[in-house]
Amino acid sequence: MVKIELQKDNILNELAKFYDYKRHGFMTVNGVDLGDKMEIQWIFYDYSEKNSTIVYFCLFDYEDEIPSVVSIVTPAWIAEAEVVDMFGVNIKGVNRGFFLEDDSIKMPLRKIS
Amino acid sequence: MTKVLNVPLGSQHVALLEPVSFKLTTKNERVVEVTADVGYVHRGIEKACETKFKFKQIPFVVSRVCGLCSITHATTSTLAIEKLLNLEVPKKAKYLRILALELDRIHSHMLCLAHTAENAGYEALFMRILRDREHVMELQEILTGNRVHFDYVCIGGVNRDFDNDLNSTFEKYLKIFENFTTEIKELFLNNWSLSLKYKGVGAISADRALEQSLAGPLIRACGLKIDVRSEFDFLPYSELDFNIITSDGGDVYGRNMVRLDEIFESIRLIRAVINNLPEGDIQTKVKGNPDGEAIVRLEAPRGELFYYIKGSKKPNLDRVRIKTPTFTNIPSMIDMLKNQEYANVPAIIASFDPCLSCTAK
Repeated sequence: MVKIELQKDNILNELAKFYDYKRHGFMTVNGVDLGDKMEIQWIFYDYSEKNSTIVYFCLFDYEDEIPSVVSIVTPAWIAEAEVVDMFGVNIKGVNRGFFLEDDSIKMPLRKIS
Repeated sequence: MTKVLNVPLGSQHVALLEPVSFKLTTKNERVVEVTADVGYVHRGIEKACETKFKFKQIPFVVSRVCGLCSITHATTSTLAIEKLLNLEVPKKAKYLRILALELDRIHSHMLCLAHTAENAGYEALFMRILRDREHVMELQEILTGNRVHFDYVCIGGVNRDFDNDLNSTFEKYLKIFENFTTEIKELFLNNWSLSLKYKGVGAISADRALEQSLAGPLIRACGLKIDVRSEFDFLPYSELDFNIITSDGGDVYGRNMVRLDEIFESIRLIRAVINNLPEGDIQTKVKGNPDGEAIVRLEAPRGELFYYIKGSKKPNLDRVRIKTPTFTNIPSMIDMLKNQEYANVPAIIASFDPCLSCTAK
């Protein structure tokens, strides 16, 4: 697994430079609550290489606006919707409620003491 | 005159195996807009894995995500945890895991084909396929001790040894599977209302399939040789001369053909496992707690299953992320339903073989 850190202001540029849908499979967008920050990961693999997993990640404060990567990775919208529902983060242009109903527990995967 | 109708499909509907809700806008019976709600069976399994259970219990918890690919969930999570523990699993256990996974693939594909038959109005064929699928479940019970939630795979190996006396029983059943799959394939190859009328229906091009990162039989039906079993060496598929099954057309017909041929390939793999089963232990002792991050992908019957696991030398895991094949394929399903005849919608959905228990988890 290769992990590459991105800066908040350069996520879309870096992913646009990297991602070629004919060469890379998109796995998912993943959220990890680190206790004081959120780690958002964009996970890919390379069709032409065995055992390849490429993880781009960026650390965010809970209230930060996270850019949506749908303009670069078309099917990412469903994974972004899940991260928004499960962690209560703010991804630009993504509404709550695709997985959880309005009266569900809010941000169930957030580690809140 | 254009007639616009809003048609709800689900959350409970005869054409749907599990609860999912589509709102379809149709113009003269052609679908022009689709929205979906997939969260009816969210059970908080990821949260439970992080808070309620210790890492050794995780494979048994996640096998409850899905009744059909339970063994795939257990195996994928186990492989990720073993990676974090630097655990070397006995070769015999790896072979037995393949045996269980391929039996699972057969019965999952058979359910999908049965559902396809039911949607086409072939109730008797639906019953016939389910009757034959019962034999697969009998073999699963012989191998693991259970019919649905097997709890067969554990961290360090498998929970039950394979008795060589079972060889003849397995061979007897494998012959039955071969015969009924040959019969069913004959029907799917030649019957208009069951199968041939779906040529070109719900089609997706190879380029679009790559753009949507489709998974499993769906992408292989576009002629693309993408199968996680050939990409990773977590399990020794390469020692068994594994072949990737593909079809062309990328349509409902092609997807069913991939599933039928994958049943034959799974039968071949099961025979290869039994004939080449190594001697030795089936479990190794687990020491320590998981530390670090691991990603493992495995080919479930419906496509790529993904687990991300993070530990920090504690008995409880910090993060368990599950991404299932249906979750991957839903964006494409919604996209594909647009511009289709409303009457073909159930067949297209069934050809995706969607599992909402997996998706909402």
